[in-house]
Amino acid sequence: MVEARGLDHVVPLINGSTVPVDDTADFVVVGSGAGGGTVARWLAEAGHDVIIVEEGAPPRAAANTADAVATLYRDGGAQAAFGMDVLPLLQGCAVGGTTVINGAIQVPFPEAVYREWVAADPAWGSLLPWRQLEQARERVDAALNIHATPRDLWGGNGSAMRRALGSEAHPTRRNVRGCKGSARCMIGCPNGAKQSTDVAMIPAAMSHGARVYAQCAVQKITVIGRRARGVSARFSSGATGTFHARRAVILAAGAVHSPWLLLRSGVRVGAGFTCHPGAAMAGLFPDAIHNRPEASQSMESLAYLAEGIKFESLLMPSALQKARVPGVGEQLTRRVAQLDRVALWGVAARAQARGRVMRGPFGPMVLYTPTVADRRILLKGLARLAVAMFDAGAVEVWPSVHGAPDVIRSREQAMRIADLPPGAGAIPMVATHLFGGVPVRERFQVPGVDGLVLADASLFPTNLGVNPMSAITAVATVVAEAWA
Amino acid sequence: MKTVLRALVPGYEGQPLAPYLPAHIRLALRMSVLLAVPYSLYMHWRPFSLLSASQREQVLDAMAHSSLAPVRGVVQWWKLVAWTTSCH
Repeated sequence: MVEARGLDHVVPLINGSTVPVDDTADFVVVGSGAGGGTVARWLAEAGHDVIIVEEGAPPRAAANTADAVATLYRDGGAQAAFGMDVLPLLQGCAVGGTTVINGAIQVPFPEAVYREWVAADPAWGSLLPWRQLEQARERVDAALNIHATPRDLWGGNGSAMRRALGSEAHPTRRNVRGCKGSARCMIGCPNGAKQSTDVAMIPAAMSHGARVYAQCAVQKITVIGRRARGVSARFSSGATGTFHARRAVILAAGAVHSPWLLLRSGVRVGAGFTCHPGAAMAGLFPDAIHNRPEASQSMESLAYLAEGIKFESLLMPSALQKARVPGVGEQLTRRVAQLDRVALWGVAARAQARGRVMRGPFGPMVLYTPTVADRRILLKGLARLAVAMFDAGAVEVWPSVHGAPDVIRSREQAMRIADLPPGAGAIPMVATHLFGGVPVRERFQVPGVDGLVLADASLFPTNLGVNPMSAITAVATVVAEAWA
Repeated sequence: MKTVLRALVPGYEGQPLAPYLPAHIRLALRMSVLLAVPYSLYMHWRPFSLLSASQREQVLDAMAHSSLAPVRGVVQWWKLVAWTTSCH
């Protein structure tokens, strides 16, 4: 047993092992992010013996963006879905999973989406009753200290969005405690203020006896006689880990790795993958706008959810912000020098496209291509954002959309973005909200295997259209209640 | 790789093929540089490494505005690699 220092807290855990490990518990939880961390805490608090197996290491304060990407992101941030568009899939790989690197936005499970699920398959009504889901959300909201971003952390970026969209925009609800507005959510909060699961859930689980094995990648689920008995894993040192489950194996490795582990274990799934792709719009303002503390994502708009559009303000570490600046060479350098005057806003589309998670030569492989309709939604959203930027006082907008000029200077030009051809590769997209579409039956078990449970977004049959952490933690809470 | 990234981001100093990247990603990054060769030969009849700074910029600008989405995507990827491996 070693102690691994987290961001501002000390967590006792087994961080890697050079000797084989064999351990047994009531529940083996694979993954420690929004789903795994949550389900582990509630089960441990209910008195069950819990093991958490996590591929990543405990997060530590990153020295810079490169360090953060190297230590906190899966595949060093290079994971992507392949299809007609190459779509980066950003996921965390650390104790705390993607909750360590997300923007901390918490949007409750949209009731309209829930109604869709029940209409398509009435079994959701009994598996995941809305009332229980709401109670679970309230329980998680309290645990993660979720509240609206205060005005002093809106910053210039968020305030400009509020000015442009008026009552259509509102401050984001975030899981933070004592946020200092350092705008480093996406590379791991340097102040330990973000209530990611490594801060808010896993230490609580450990105080009730849960054991965490970090830097330990699960290779396969052990299924004997149609029942999940445990998992076999490998530490980064090469040592093996064998973990036995008396009651259930709970998969919460994310919408890519949970289906992949099921495939490796002989369960045929993976065809329901979908995601919530987003694109960003940069605008140059006459004066500096990044001159005070600001939350990474302080403002959002849910006013266009019915059209599949969500807007949010974005303030990323400068290295990531610079990658969004158009141009090459000296022209790029000149534009980057104005970065303190550049606002960045994002649009995410409730894409309908379906992809597939497969077993690839280097691990999971995701095939996914947004439909033409999905790209049209994004173009429509980007056009609205560009117009809003001019309304907020921008002097230039940098759309980074193929077919549009590098720099546009009027509302009329901005409106024409919506009419650009929605061809493959026209919009540089990124997806951080991933959903698996893996079917589940009673108590969230995978069909055909008893005691093999899903507790992450891999069980979501559709794209939520909003940031999923709040929904995942609420669903994981219901999963825990089903097994407690 | 560094030659291309220095043309893309003047003053670039970093380690583009960072050891933390999976081997197949490092290989893909290394291979992607070959994309600049046909563009530089077509535009200036010389390999990329023998071009002047302004000619290199012209080549990269042409790639950034290519009608081929994968070529544009590669330039965007290089940009991300350049900033995340050199800027703090």
